[in-house]
Amino acid sequence: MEFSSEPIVEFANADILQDDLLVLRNISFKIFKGEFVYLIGRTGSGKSSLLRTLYADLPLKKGNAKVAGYDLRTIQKKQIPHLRRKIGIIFQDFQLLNDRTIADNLFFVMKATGWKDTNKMKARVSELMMRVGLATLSNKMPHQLSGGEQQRIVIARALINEPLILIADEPTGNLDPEVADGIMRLFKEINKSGTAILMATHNHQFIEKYPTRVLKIEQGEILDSSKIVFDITNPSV
Amino acid sequence: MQRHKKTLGSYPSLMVMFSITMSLTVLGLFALILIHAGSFSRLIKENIEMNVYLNENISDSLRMEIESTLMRKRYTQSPEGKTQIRYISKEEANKIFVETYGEDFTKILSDSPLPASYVLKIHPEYSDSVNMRQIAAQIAQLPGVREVDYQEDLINKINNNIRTAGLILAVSAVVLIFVSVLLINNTIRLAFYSQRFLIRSMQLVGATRWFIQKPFLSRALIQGALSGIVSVLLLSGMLYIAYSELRELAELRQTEYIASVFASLIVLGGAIGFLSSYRAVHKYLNMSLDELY
Repeated sequence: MEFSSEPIVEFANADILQDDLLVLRNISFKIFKGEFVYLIGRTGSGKSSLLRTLYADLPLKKGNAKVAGYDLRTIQKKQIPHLRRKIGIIFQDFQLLNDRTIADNLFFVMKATGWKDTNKMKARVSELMMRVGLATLSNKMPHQLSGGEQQRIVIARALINEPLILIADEPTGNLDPEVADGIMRLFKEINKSGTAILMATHNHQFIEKYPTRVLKIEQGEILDSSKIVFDITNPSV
Repeated sequence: MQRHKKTLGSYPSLMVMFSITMSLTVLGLFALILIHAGSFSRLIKENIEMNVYLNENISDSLRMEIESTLMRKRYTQSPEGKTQIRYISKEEANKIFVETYGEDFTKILSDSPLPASYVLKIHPEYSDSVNMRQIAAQIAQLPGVREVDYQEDLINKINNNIRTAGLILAVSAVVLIFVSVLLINNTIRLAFYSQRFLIRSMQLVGATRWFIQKPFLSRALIQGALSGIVSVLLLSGMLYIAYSELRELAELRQTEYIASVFASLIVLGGAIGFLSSYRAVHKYLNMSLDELY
């Protein structure tokens, strides 16, 4: 597979800290446009800290990192929102707002990220709802949707500003295998259109069924399947 | 099902409005008291008099000399530029005494012991004790003047009371504003806590800080100004009652000053709301939201 030369994510000799506690040391990796990368590692290994550093929620104090053209060492507070618009974030604790309809959930994000033209907003919402396969549900409330449908809406929300990369943390954690597989296929489709995806997961069946590059966090370091061979089914994962 | 949207920036507004209204009302009350005390003290100051008693058997030419000397002085001019000197002859002094006390010296003595005098109304600018003492000493030096007399204590008391009252009012106002700012801070903290998921969502999707704080600031500004309006209404009611109960008070009314106090209260309400919520919003936006949990 060929990628453009400029990586979307590039960490070089970076230390990841959480509350001044060193979680990962001296890590280096790159993610290019259109790549699909799994991030694995046992609970508490530092996956979330790495992802939080990636969208500038945790500061980078040592080493270098560039994400979507922004240097994480020198990024200014006012630039952070613009960085995040180039990253789609899909988290378990970042759910839909239950007090408004699906369409309003998407409008809310659009307004928050500087969309002004109502017609363009409506058009974008229908486009996204089609893309995640839920064209008819935009006037429903989140609680009227199944778990899988809600997760599709969360993905649609992440796609609003045409991000360069989607960061997903356990996106199928609460779903039954069949629905989870549907979500996984949606990610694959999005990936095919050029959006890079970094997915943290514990689901080894996915990795076997849809094999691609794997980053594994182990003992404060990152192992990269594109560079060395390791066993992803290690019971410690 | 009734939908209840969590609008960003909404918080228990009644509590905040109540506290701002209270502090503005007390502040406004202080200002109104100050205004009325000010015009009261000016009224008194403008009527402060100095008695210049003349020697017995003073010649008319010397008396006229004294009169013209006094007339030339600035302190005998009213603020409008009118000379405020009144001559009281021995006969007049006796008449006033008879009218006031009902006793007539001339019935017992061949002549009234009351001397002729000049009554000077002193310009308010010179009514402080230092100036009054200097003026009295100066006039006492004039040939033909027997004694100069004024109510030193009254002037001192008035000046001291106004200073003390002003100090107490200023300190109370500062304390009250501090309490309002503290309350707004706590209320916004509560608002941030109850809306932390919404704010977190906005941060994660890339909303700018301005977008997140805008609703808080505009609400605080409007609520502050509304509190100002409510306190102006309350104060107007109080003034109305006070004026109709105390007619003398109504004479001290200075409509322009009162109007500017009312306008300032509304502006101040908005400013207190805006600035303190700006401070609080910034504080909590800089905090990791996890710290709020």
